Amino acid sequence: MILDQTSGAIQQLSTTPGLNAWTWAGTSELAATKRFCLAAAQSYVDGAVKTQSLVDGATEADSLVDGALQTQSGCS
Amino acid sequence: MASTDITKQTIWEDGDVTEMARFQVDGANGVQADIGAGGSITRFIFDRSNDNELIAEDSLVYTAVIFDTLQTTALDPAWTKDATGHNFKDRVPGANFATGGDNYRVEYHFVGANGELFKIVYEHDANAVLGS
Repeated sequence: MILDQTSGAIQQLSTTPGLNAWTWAGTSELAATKRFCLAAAQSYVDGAVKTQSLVDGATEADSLVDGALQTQSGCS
Repeated sequence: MASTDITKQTIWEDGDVTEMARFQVDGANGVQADIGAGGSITRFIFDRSNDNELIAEDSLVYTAVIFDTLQTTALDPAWTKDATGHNFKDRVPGANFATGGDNYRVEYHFVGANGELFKIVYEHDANAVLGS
């Protein structure tokens, strides 16, 4: 006996009274997901000679200094 | 930087601000295909000084805000954060920052091509403009 409960995306497969075998009939496998992360961010305001974005919690020393270009490209 | 860091920048009341970022996907710099037609980018703007009032919610076109080639300072002088460049840029109209003295939050909610969820968040103190 097979009960196909399509609305619930679940099939109950059972041939023996009293014995229920459940199988997942939804997505058979999850799509491979990728890891997004933020490496760097900045805001720019028109007319500013130099804008200085501060990351929350950062001290002044962590922010950009005139003429310096940080080379770190990764993120965590 | 950590993906949960909030980038802060003082802006002018009623003044446009350009948000930029470099994001990575599985260790490589992100490209348009990481969002693609199956994903989405939504920009939310809130006035944190007014009980987090939702100022605007807009869907962005991924081909308009994501660059497949990193935009270094040579290509985009607005980017001065580092020598590597950015791959995300969005100009936010100043009409969204109408109240001087308020603090505004700009949130970008990304949904990747495979359903991945990712956010980039900025906050801005709006300096009042006396002539407005």
